[in-house]
Amino acid sequence: MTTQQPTAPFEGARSARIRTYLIYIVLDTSESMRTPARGAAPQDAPLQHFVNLIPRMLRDLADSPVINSIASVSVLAFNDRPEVLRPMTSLVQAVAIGKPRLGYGTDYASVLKFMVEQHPKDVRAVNLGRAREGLTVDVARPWVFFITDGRPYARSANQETAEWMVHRDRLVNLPIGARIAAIGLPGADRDTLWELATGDDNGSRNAFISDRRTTPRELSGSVVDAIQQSIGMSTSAGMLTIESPVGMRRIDRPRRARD
Amino acid sequence: MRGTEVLAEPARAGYDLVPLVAALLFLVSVFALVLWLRRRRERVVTRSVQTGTGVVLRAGGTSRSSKQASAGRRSPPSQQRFRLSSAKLGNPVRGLAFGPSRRRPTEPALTSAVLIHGPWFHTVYHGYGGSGAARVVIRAATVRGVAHAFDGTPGQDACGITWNQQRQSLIAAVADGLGSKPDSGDVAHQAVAGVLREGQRLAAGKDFAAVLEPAAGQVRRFVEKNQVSGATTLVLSEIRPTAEGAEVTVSGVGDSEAWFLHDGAWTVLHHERRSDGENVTRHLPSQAQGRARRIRVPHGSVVVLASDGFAGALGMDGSPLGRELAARWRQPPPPVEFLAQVNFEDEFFTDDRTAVAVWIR
Repeated sequence: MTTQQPTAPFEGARSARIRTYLIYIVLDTSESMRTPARGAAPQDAPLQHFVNLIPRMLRDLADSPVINSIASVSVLAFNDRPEVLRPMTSLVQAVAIGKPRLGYGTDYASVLKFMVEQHPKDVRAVNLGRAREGLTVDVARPWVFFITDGRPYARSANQETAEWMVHRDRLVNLPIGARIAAIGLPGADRDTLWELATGDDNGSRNAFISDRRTTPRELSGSVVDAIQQSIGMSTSAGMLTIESPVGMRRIDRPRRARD
Repeated sequence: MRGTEVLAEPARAGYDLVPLVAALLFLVSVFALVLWLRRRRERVVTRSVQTGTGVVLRAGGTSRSSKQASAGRRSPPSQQRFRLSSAKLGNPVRGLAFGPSRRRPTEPALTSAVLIHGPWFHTVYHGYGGSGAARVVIRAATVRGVAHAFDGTPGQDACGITWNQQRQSLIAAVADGLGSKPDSGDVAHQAVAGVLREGQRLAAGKDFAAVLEPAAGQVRRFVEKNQVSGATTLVLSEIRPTAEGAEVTVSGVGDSEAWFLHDGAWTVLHHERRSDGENVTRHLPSQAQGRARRIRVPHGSVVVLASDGFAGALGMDGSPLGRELAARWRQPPPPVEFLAQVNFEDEFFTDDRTAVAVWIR
């Protein structure tokens, strides 16, 4: 046998490979999320809607054969501190979803720090869960869908950007390389969403703010669509930005920069 | 008294009925035996039809066929039939839609270029190229992936083969449209068409790797002229039969792959697999720089070009699919069986699948 290449590039092809994705749905459960709009019934608070809709979102995601087979989803909640409502598991596994604890703050730093620490454990768990004879499991960079309605607030004070940005940077830089889509409910701070989100080299970021007329149910449907967009397709340069979900507007740039 | 007579009657009648009952029992037994034999014969077909048209891959275990392959034997038809019906015993491969054909399929000659692009349906081609000792047998199939079928969107793979009379060689190509762009299926179609056009007119003595550049140019012009949003990977190959086997030249852009199978072992000829799990790949028309390779393969080899939906399940150190196909591709399978093999069942592989396999006789 003769080849034109002195060294055959065999290494990556030693074994069959399956690609798997980690998806974090992070839900702000601070006091403002539990407060209904003026004149609305208590059960119309955004948090209650999302808590009710999360099982539905997971079912919708599981309907897709791609997501069902290759993605694992974890649901986190945070207020004064983070908590895991659903551990990182594939959608084919029935896992109980916990009820979020009561809390008041919107501590971005603690939840981002928690994710940085949690990610390697989740990767190990997914690798173990998916391991099959003759196949190598590749875990892609995680997607984080961060749903919030407020600005960072912890220990009875606004949280400085620098305080949580350091953890956000650790999360989005390698080796984790997370991609964050920040989804703001009405009233959310646009600048914070923009700073939290990741994007592409052209300056476009996955920072969205929902329309006031959009119902939580539509919003959760949009999150499902965005998750479906984000994985499973071969791409030219990596799926760094997702299209604007229905009922949401992309935040072009922070207001502070404009002023 | 009447009562006594009545009581006596059945005893006599029963005695007279013994031969009749015996004859009846005999007939029922024969009937049951015939029924049992018929049901037994039908069961093989029923089981295989119930499993659908895919090969199911499971972790662990070695199939009967793999063991036979390692022993260097080819199963007689009766054993192959057993293999089909033994699927429920936990073998990694379940049966195909049909049992092995009793006769070899008629192989039509490849007289003109064949381009397969089945966006909505599965397609299979079979035939041969060349003549005499320089004859190669071809199977090509494309299958719309589960993901596209679920979304109701078209499959985006394409493949093609043609015979270059001047060079006495087979030209083959596989293209896999990028799922992130809606018109990628059309671009994949154009890429294969370009390779077939350029490959067919390539004069003897010229380097086959030169086919890629004009083919990529055609793709670029198609995208620009029609303003379509699409991109594709491409792997192409020239297979020239020789006295020792074949000389194979492979070139490619992106994550479609080329492999060859010989003596039960798979060797990769072209791949661009990433280790970070990202679904990012080089593609046409943006990147037209191919990675070329030439290799001589012996008689009995199978050269395979495939999109990553199929080739991703192959590995040089063994994979469930690779082991099964090593056993089953000792000879070209019947076309429908080949289609079923490309359409193997595995929950992790939901992408479109296309494979062109060429047996060097």
